[in-house]
Parts: sequence; structure tokens; C-alpha cells
Amino acid sequence: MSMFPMSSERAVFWSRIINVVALLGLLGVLAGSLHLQLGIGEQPCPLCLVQRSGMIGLAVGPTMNLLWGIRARHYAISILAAFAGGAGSVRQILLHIQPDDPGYGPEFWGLHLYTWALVTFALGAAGCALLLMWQTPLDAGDTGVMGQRGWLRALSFFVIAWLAIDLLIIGFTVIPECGLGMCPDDPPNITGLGDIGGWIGILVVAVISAVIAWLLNRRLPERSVRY
Amino acid sequence: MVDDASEMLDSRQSRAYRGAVMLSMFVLWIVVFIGIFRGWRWTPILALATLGWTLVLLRFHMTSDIPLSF
Repeated sequence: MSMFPMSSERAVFWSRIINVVALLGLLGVLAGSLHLQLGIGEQPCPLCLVQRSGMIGLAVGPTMNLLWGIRARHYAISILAAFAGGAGSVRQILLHIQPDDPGYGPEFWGLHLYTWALVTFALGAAGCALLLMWQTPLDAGDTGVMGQRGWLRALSFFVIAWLAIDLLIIGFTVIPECGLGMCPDDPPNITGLGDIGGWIGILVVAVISAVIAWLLNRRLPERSVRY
Repeated sequence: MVDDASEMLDSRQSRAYRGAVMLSMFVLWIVVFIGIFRGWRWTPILALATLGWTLVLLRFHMTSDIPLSF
């Protein structure tokens, strides 16, 4: 007997919504870190970059679920990414665990960003574990939103395009900070766009993502990705 | 003798640092996302390999001691 009695179609629909919301949450974290970097001018430390990599890995599961269909192995990738990113967070927390250590970087609501990253990884892994207990969408034979033109496909394209642009920005900004080698342990601050400039930059990325999503949803035919 | 050994270890580590590229981690993620959108079957394997590479780079960046006895 299913834990949540619901038709396959409704279960897949709500499962997709949960995956979109999860991606929006991760986008919030990544956009916040990019605002700190490009707006305020605080360059990420190497361990911060490892945690960003974990965040992107965490987003791979929901992205695959939306474009390829809901599968247990996609959630498994996100859980493993939570462990990899969490290892970076734990490492950084332990470096500053002694009393009176000021920690690294700014605080947000009383916790340093690497502590919040660990909370995010823990919530991500727990969320995936809970969704793995919901069997109906896993058994539905879902082939993803690619085959269904509509608002949910456009919304999925929007969050995935935003994520992809954030990934490109993170990748490109690593070059001036680290070159083609390892990054400095404590990188110097740079002159950023300013607080408001940083938020405007995030808004611009969101608008570009919306345009890409609209174009993709309009132009792509209704098809299923073979997988 | 101990100094020689630590110098040799330092030299090996710095070679490893030069060989390891932080940028590569994000280049791999970009390929993973292209793979997801294009429906490439080996994308989950590449995602797992990228996570492994992330852990390798984390290990290379463990350059300072944790102020505890472990």
C-alpha cells in the first residue's frame, strides 16, 4: 500500500513541483554566494568552491528528475553530492571550531556560510531520503517534462537555465582567482558591483533565464529523452 | 632524515597541486549539465566521477591543521 494514496499522474506532478522548489532553494544559496562574491567583493576560498561544487551536484538529481523522469538513482546522486559537499563544510567548521576563533567570512543569522552550507546539505540528503520513500512517482514510468509543453516545462527550463548560468559564472570567475592551478587559501577581496549592483546582477540573470526558458518551451518539440 | 622525508613529501604535494586544477571541477559540471540536456546515457557516471574529483581537490586543499587532536 502506498504511503501517500494518489494517482500516478498527480504523484508525478507534485514530485516535479517539489523538485522545482528544491532547485529554487539551491539557486537561492548559489545566488547569495555570487552576490557576496561579485557584489560585495568577497572571493570564495578553496573550501567554499568545494562546497559550491557539492551544491551543484545536489542540483543534478532534481534536474535529471525534471528532464529525464523521476528515478531513485537521480536522488542517489544528490545524496552522494550532499556527502561530498558536506565533507567540505565539516572540514571548514572544524578549522574554526576552537572557542574565540572568529571564523572565516561573514555571518548570516548568527552562523557562518559554511555552517549554513552543511545545514543545506543535510536538508538535501534528508529530503531525498524522504522522497525515496514515496514509491508512486518512482513507479510511474515518468519520462520528464521534455515531452510535455506547458507552464511546468517552462518553469523547469527557467530554474535549470538559471542554474546553468550560475554554474558558468562560478566557472569563469574561478579563472581570475585561481588561474589554472590550485586556489589561494585566503584569496584577497576584489572591488565588487556593490550591494545593489549585486542584486541587480542576480535580477538580470533571472530575466535572461526566463527568456531562455520561454524560447526553449516555445521551440522545442514535444519529445521524450531516451534514457 | 625526518626533514628529508618531509621535504620529499612537500615536493610531491606541490607537484600534485600543480597538476590539480580547481577550474576542472566546474568544467566537468558544465559537461554534466550539457549531458543532462542532451540525454547522454553516461551523464550519471560523469556526475559521480565529478563528485569523486571534488573530494580529491578537497584533499589537496587540506593544507592547515585542524586545532584538535585528530
